[in-house]
Amino acid sequence: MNAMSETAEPLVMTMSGINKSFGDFHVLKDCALDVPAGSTVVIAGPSGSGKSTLLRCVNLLEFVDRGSIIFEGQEVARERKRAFAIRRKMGMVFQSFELFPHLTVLENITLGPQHILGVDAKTARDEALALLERVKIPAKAEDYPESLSGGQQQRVAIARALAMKPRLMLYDEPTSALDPEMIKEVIDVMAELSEAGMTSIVVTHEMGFARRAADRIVFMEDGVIVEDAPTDVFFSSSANPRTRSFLEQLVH
Amino acid sequence: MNISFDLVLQYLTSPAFLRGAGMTLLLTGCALVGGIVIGLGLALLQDARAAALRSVAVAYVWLFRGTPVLFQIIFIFNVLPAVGVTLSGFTSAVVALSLNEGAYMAEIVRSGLRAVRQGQRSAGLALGMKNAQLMRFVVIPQALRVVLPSLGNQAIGMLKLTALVSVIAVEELLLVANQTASADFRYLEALIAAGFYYLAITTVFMFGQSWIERRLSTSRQARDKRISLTQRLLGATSSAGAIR
Repeated sequence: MNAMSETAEPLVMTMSGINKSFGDFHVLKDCALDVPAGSTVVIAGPSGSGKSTLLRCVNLLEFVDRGSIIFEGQEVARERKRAFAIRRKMGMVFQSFELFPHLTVLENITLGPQHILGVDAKTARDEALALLERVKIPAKAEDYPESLSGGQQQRVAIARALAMKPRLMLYDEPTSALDPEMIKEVIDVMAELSEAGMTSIVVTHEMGFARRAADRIVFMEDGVIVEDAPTDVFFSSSANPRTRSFLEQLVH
Repeated sequence: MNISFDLVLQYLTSPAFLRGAGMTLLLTGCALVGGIVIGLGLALLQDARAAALRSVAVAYVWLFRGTPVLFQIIFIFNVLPAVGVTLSGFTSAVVALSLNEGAYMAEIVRSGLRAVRQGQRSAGLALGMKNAQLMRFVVIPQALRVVLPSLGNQAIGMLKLTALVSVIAVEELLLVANQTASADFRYLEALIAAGFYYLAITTVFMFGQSWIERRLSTSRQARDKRISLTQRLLGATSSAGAIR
């Protein structure tokens, strides 16, 4: 685990007063969150609580109605025109992997660096192969995604995001679409990245990952951040009744 | 009636027939490209937010699918000059065939674009792609794979439709054959020569399509598998299951 709650670390991302509605549905209500450099923040909560929407707002895949998102010292919440440039500094991993099916594993990883960042082909390839080592599937470089297991696909998706050298990794329920026996291989990779100091926000139900890798856990319900506590406090002594009842349900 | 193979051979290698075949190919190519462009525009109109724009697309498809192509060709060549728009035979032919093809292409283009899931677009955007990059690297390559079998069918269909423009005196294959035949009174040989060209070109199209499909396929099995020519001739292209 990272150095516990070192408040001296600069903030990679901080948001406050976040409000977002889809039509009449008020999805996010006055959410605020700080993400210090090198930390891993897990967002948990029942489905429909707004966790994924919050993550998509951070990556500007959705735009907030009100509120502020400061990423690396810059206000980005309303940067519709420059959203593409800001997204290049964040990596995102989706529940359903979303690898590009018409490209090989290697091409999936080199596409971003080569065609978006303008890295030369050889460098992009070497870095991609190194990343495949890091996510422990070096032998699959020339295969197409459809021939990989779900766990392998998700690890390639992580490598694809890392290839852009992001300052912040966003995981949107990365293990929810996986068979139980594949969850561990993905969690291991994510935990190793967190331990190596990759700043991350992880929306997940996997409390095993949270215990192992999270510095803080944020609990959301009905679009409200109900609790934001250091990991050990969250699991051992949370006084919040909503958190307690959520944790009790998870045990079963 | 006896057939002179020498004469067939002579027609096949004559500059007139070669030019006719070339014109047929040129018409096919131009009209297909025109049809795809119009189809893309219509597909975007059909998915537009404004109801008025969607109505334009519906009216277009209704008009061009509801009248014979031959009618459209003759209309553009003979009626437009009355309102001050005079087009050459070739231009009229390309315009008419493109307009007609667009009505059919719209549905094909739309099915291709729809086949690319929203999550794929999100993944491209999350990598920091601009809209043009998203189209180029994510949407079009995947949509193309979906529509390729249909495009192949349309290409072959278009090749045959071009024979219709002989009525407005465009010197394509059928008109050349017909003129040659009536000059020499050798219909059999002239039509055999023309038929040979049509079959040769459709055959090349089929092989080309099968080659491209295999090249674009993402599974080894499908890339190694050949679809037999008979299967293609019988129109089994769109149901060639292994190809995505």
